[in-house]
Amino acid sequence: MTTTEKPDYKVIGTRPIRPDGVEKVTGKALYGADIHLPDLVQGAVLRSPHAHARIVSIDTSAAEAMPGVLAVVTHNDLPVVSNKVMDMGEGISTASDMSKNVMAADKALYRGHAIAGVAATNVHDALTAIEAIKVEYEVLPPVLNVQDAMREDAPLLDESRHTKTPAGELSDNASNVAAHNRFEGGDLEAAYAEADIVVEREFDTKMVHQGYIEPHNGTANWNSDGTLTVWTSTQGAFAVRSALSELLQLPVSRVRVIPMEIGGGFGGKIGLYLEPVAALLSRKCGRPVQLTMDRTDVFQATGPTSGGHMKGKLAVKDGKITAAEVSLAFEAGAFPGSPVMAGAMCMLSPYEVENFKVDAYDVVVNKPKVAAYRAPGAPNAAFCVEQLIDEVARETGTDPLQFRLNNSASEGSRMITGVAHPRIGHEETVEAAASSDHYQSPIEGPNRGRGVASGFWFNAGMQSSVIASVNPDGTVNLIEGSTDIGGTRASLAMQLAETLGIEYDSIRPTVADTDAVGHNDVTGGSRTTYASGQAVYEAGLDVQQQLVARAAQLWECEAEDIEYADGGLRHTSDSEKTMTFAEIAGKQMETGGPIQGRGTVMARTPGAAYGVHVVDVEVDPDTGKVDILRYTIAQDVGTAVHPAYVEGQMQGGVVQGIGWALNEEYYYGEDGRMENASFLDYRMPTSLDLPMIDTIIVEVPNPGHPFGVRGVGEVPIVPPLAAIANAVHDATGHRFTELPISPRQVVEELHNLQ
Amino acid sequence: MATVLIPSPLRSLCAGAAILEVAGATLGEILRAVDVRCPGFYERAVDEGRLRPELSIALNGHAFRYGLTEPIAPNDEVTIVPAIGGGDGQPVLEVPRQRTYSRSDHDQHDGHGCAI
Repeated sequence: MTTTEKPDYKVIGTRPIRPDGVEKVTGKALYGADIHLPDLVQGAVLRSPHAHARIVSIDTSAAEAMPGVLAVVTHNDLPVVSNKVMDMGEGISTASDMSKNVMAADKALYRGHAIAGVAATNVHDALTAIEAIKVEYEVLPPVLNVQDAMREDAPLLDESRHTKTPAGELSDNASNVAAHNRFEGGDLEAAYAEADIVVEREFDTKMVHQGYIEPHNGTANWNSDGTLTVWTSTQGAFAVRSALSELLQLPVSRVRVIPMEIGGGFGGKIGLYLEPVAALLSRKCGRPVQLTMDRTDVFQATGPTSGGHMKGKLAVKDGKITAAEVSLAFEAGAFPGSPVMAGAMCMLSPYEVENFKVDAYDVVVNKPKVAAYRAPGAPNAAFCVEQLIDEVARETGTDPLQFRLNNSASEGSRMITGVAHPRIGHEETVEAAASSDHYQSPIEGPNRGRGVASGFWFNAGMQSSVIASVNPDGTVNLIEGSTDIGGTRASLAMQLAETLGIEYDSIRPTVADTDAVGHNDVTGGSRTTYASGQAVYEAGLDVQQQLVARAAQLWECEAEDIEYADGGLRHTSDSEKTMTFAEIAGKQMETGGPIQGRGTVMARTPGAAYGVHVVDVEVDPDTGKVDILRYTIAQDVGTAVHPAYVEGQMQGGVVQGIGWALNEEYYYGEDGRMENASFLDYRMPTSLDLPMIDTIIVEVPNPGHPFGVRGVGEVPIVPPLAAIANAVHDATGHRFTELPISPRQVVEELHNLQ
Repeated sequence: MATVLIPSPLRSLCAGAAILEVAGATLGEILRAVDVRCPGFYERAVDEGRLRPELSIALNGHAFRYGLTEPIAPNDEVTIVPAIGGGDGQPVLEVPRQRTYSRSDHDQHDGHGCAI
């Protein structure tokens, strides 16, 4: 579905094979743990068995004396760093907090918090040695949810932490609430007084993990010239370089980060855990050191996304939302930096809301420091607001999609931040969902129900750099620095092919390391196809310009007399003079040497994404199991560069959302131990649990991109939590306000067993 | 004159004003001009010559980490918004390091140690 006339693209909109496909399906692609270097040794990390404990002492002498052990490091081996704020791309932290998360300083703040690292000639010796490290702990009571953490008498994770208030000041008393922000506008009380309907509810969500298949890994070689080389699985090699530079107090020019293929990230591979430890161990023992996590480490010690508590209130007058009041408190984990602000800014963005008050609390708890997870913060917040929307639509007797359309934001509408929307496609996306075969088909049968929800995500721009080198055979080497998670080698190659008017197969993309290409921000924020695509476009224009100059030299005419079109050059007034791209590429040497285009951007106009989901469920009242019968996602993608990969992103986001809605949670014991730290007990959906996820691509081109591209990867995870809860309500008549909507919860709710 | 939308947390500096009209050719000049009417505003928005990492600017609807030299046209709309990444970034006091016992204690261990 396209809302405006789309240019007649030759490559964009096709579905070619990804350049990295063969290596990946034949098992030859190199991931982080595949690195083998001369003299490489293995390491292991000692982790805290306590969720909250003061570290009285660490005795590493016995471990150091063990055979095969080459080096032992603790937090004391890390340089003292400042409180400099580090923006890693989809999350902000201070260098000091990052350092304390890499290895605990005075306190262990969650079970699994790294305490020490060991390098040994083999991994077995390393694992034995960490058992020999003696740590004296003073065990403290943990705080495991925001309600407990926000109590005035709660145990404090950091006695020096005070709440940063909305006015930007620090609270008098120390607190686990790291920050409180507020957005407000209009007159809430007047809106409530005049409202036809006011609904109010509280909601709870649990911490969930991204569930990427490849565990974290890091291999470091502290070279004898004082430079550091790191091989790792990351969404952003340059972000890792910046963080290592800060944490190890090295100039960025002395750190080289080589990004390996990545086995999933979803935001969780932006921060770093093992790389600094491997680097310190390498410096100590003079050999390259490799560290890898197992699945338990990944669950217990790397960033999931926040759980939290939310209170929401909506008022409606004459079918219009007249007031919204929402309070969000999100778990940040052990250090500040939950995505609560993103959630706060996203949840009302599909709608026109004149009167509002939104409070956002960033709360530390004794759980791993959270990391970004696909539209961080937005799914939780939408779980609250989109259920309230469903409720008021029902109370007004309005079709829930029609209600959303009646209240939809559009170009010029203001978000709660005051920022006016540029051209957006929420209305078109609602209409696409409403006219889908799915929504037009009745749902029948007992215990079955249908739910819908909308979702919004900003999308990001940020920095990208690429180099396009023309080969004499008419192909082009595209050197880029964006980790390829979801097919961006293909989507970038396609945009360069489109710009140059040549075949997709003529572009050979390579993801380079930090020494080989200009700065690239993380593959995150749904930015790569958009922003690196813009850089690719600039590089293509640069190549075009150089080719025209070379042709002018050959034809002894002015550059202005030559036109670049349809993958070749032609003289505007002499039809005999034409050259294909391959022909001029073959004449580089005789016309002045190599031709190389470059593109660098600070992309500013990403264009927001909207998705509207429709889901049918069947609830078994005896077992509490919720089956997804049918699922349709409509999403504004701007322009679908590679429709198959766009559909894959949409389906993948939905599936992760289904898991979040129905099964997934970090299940904690009272002592702060995660009791389901394996994929056996942390239940993610598989293909056997799901129907085909039907996709409707809506294309409202982004005016801020040469091909109209919008980011597509994150927004599909925003609506499923609420859409499924709305469907379960439709099926059962019960409003589920706590995630996951697990069989236990369903049975307890339906049979009043709480 | 450019229109500056003041976010609710900073309105206390501006006598509650949500919108100000100020003149300036660059973003830095605009923020300075706001500071004249709202003392303390510039310091809340800018640190070491850069917009604070926890803030972002939306220029005519497009949020971005603009530099202070960003040109501003007379009819532009400048909105100060929190960065999407959130977090607090507040200073915290350094705490004493824990005592670590190891063989390198005997080697004047300075925290950066040598190979054992």
